[in-house]
Order: sequence, then C-alpha cells, then structure tokens
Amino acid sequence: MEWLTNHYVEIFAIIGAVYSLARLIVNLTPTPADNAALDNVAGFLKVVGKVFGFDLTQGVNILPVYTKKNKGNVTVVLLLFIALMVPVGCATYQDIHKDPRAECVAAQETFAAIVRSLAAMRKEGVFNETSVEKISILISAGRDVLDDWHANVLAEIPVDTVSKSMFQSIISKLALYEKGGR
Amino acid sequence: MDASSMILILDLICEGVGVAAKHAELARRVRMGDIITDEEIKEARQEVAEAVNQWEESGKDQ
Repeated sequence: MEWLTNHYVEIFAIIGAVYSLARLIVNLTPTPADNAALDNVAGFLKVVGKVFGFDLTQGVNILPVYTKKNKGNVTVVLLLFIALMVPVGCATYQDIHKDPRAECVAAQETFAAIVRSLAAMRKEGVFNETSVEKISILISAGRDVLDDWHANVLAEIPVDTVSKSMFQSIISKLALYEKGGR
Repeated sequence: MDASSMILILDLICEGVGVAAKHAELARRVRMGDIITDEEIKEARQEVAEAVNQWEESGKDQ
C-alpha cells in the first residue's frame, strides 16, 4: 500500500497512456462496439483520475524522465506522443472514417508522424541494432500497406478490412515498441 | 533531464499536436462535405516517403 501511495503519479501516467493508445487504436477501427466498451472504461478512469487530480482525457499529465542513461522510459515517451495525438476525440475519427479519401490521408499522416518520431529517437541512440532492424521491418511493411491503400483510393477501389487491420497492427506495434535501447 | 532529451520530448509533442490538428481539420472538412483531392492524397504519400527516408538517414549519424 505504501508503494502504491508513493508511485500513484507514475501509475496514473501509465494508465493514461495505455488508455490513450487504446483510444487511438479503437478510433482507427470503425467498430461502434469497441468504442462503446472503451467509453465505459473511460468513464471509470475519469472518475478515478479526478479523485487523484488528473484528467485522463488528456492522456499523460507528467513528462516522463528520459535520459540516455535511462532509456527504458522510451516506451512511455512514445506513448506520450500517442496520448497527445488522441485528444482530437472519437467523433473526429468517426467523421474521418466516413470518407475513404480522408481516412487514407489520416492513416498516412499518422504513420509519417510515428516514423519521424522514431527517427528522432534513433538519432538520440535510443534503439539498439536489433530494435532498429525490427522497427525497420515494421516501417517497410507499413509503407507497403499504405502504398496499396493509396493506389486503391485513387482508383476508387474500396480498401479491404484486412489491409486496414494490418495497418492498425503495424501502428500499434510501432507505438508499443519497448525493446528500444535495452 | 539533459538538453537533448528535452528536445526529443518536445519533438514528439510537436509531432503529436501536429497530427491531431491535421486530423481535426480533415474531420471538419468531411462534415462540411469537402472533397479530399487526389493531390492531397499524393502529398500525404510523399510525407510517408519523406518520413521513411528520415528513418533511414537517422542511422547514418550513428
């Protein structure tokens, strides 16, 4: 119990980040059932968060300490990035999903932003060689999926759900990448 | 926290806020019934290509 009271700030930061990541993934998946389920979780987290003075709708409320000596925090830093993307809100993504062209642009912009962030982290020496190799494979796969998606949208061919699922899987793996720098 | 770590975190925040703003604008345009042009889709693809290039270049500084 003492540990809990000493570390509740970090615990809520992680819960906020995980919730925000889940929100991003759910928002990229046009399934109302998922959204409804997460909204229930959100309601609970918001109530609990307010008790401790946090607003979990804004994701992480503290900046994690990241130094070259403490590279294990890289996951939290990346989740912070994701968390900051998410406050746009569920309704926004529902609107974007209504238009395949907007959805394609949003997917490409999200992917590009995550890749740019990973590049910045790589420059700082966050990732070891194995991690770089694995991330490179994911980035290459993501680019291939987006190339097909892009071509289909321009040709006005509906994008199949398998491609979207693959893209979501790649994004979530990149975002959750936690072996970096270890 | 050293300066490079702070800059890295600010970079990540800027990326996140930037994408969020773009998505909000996209959603607004969808609601207004605007057409997303082929040019805009191609620009987004170019953005992906540039980001992948940045990832590849970032390894050369090591």
